[in-house]
Amino acid sequence: MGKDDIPGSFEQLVLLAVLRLGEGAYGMTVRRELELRTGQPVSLGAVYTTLERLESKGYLGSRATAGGAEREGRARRFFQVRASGVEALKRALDLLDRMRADLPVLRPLGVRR
Amino acid sequence: MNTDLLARIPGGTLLSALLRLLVPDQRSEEFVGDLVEEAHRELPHASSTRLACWLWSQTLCSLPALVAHRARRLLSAPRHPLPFCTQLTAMPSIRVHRSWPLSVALTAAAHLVAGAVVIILAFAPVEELQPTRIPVVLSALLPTRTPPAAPAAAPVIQDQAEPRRIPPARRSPRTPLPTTLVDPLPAGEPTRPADPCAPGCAGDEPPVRIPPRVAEKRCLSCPPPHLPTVFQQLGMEQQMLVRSCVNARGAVTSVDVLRGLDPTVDMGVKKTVQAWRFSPHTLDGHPVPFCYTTRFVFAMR
Repeated sequence: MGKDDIPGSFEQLVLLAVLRLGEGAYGMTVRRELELRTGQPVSLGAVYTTLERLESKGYLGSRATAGGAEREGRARRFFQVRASGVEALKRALDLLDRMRADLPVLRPLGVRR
Repeated sequence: MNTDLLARIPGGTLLSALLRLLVPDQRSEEFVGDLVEEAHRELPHASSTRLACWLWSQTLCSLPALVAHRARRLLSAPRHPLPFCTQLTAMPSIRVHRSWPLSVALTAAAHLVAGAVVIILAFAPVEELQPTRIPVVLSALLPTRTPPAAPAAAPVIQDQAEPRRIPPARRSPRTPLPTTLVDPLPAGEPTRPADPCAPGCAGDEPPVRIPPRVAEKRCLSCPPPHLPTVFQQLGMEQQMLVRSCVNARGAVTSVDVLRGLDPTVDMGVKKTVQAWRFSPHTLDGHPVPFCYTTRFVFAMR
């Protein structure tokens, strides 16, 4: 199993954020989603570099579109998770599940709605 | 009115240039676009100064990630085989960065500079340094017990710089040791490793030389000498070499300090050893005087 087969922890968070955002995932919205869900401040630079790294690994696809007046005409790049990204995310989460199985102190907290 | 936010805020041009440096290609425009969009969303009616502060803070927070990513990209940039090593292209490890001419030039320059430094150091005249032995009078470290008659400027420093000016008599002064200089608390147990005895001890008959371990067996009352507290605080291991001669009745007749520490300490040790009592050393059934050498090692606590 190569190193790239398991995304890192922050990469997993970014992949999950892009999955959640669906069609509207670009740098700033991914950052907002991360801050909203994790409650931790996230820099835009970290999000951008992670998105680019995931794209170079083939986990994400992107398309650039022209920006509107709110961006003063600057381009915007939307991201979507590819099938390889979903597989990598599954592998990472399965690994975590297998490692924490039968450990009472790490019982899942459940989904917070 | 200029609609470009980065052109309106203070330091916007510098910020734009910094972002173009850190975020290459088209990603820079997208990054700035995201920043501008977020600035309009977060601070819709803010002044240009406040916008500038917000944009700079966002950029500075992103700086570590951007710099690390940029460096990683530069290091893992597409590599190309050396043009003059095309026959080696089958070896995947023989590859260099795209900017190989710059690398070659920098490497050559570094080698030239290093070679010049080596040549300069090799042919530079080097002055040989002779080791100098500087005797240190330990009693000079006793601030309250140094003789007050000496002028303030000089004697200790001159004694350290000029070893020959110190007469040997000053190392074993004939003045009696003040009892207050000997610390009543034990400083460390002196040990006495083997040392051959030197000839010339005083006595009525020619004394015989005996090893220290034999002399120790003859010892009836040999309290160990003590080191003053001030010398304990120096934090060093102190050693002394003392030659003692004992007469046929077991009394110490002479004590010579062969290697001393300090006049005050030497005198204290001599006084202690002078009071030692031995059982007579017999040779063919007759008591004879003897001499032996003792090494005192004061192990600091």
